[in-house]
Amino acid sequence: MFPAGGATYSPAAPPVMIIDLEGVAGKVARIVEVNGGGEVTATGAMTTRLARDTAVGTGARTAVSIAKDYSNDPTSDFFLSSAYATTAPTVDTPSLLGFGWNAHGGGFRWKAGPDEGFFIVGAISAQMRADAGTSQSRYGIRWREY
Amino acid sequence: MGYLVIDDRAQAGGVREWDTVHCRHCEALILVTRYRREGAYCLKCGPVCQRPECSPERCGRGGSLHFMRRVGEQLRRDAFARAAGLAER
Repeated sequence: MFPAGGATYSPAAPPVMIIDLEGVAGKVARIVEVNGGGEVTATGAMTTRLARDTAVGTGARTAVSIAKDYSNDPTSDFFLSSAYATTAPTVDTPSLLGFGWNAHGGGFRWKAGPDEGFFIVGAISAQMRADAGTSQSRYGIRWREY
Repeated sequence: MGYLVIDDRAQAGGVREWDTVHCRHCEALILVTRYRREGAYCLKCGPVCQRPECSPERCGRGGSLHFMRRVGEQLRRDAFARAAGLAER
């Protein structure tokens, strides 16, 4: 399993992509957790959602560091990016997961049950997206590759 | 069954928690406590959401709508493309 994320982030002009998980042909992954927390000291309404992309981004990726649950695990075959140089991914309208929360010390965590999660199959992508709110916050994502 | 928690205690909003299940047709998340309003049930596949595309009546006419079926189809397409030299290994 691969956890990633954690860097502080302030959505500049929502709706905007936070991070994008992109697969490769022939590989399968399942997103099993997304989480986030606010770091501001006054109310900051935020709306965050997880959605698939109808078109993958193009150009050089701004990579987000990917960790491992165990040091002996192989490195991830997937790409986790905060931006694409040429064209941003086109996000789908329906959300896989979406909700409002408050960045004033608030947070959220969704964890999949056993054998559950959102599949990334082949060279497609899904992104965590800030639809509203510009407060400083941190986000994380965890997935399992097969 | 998954778990979703949203903590708004700093704003006196309390902690909100839900059990979650996935729509078996489109994988969208369904909050169990809202299932009666936001969910339906497909006898072939299991809990589904109420989007028209996921309607239980549509499942079975042209084959199951279960998302794992589409996962398998995508993997078979990828394997064929690699075997035919149409995709990068």
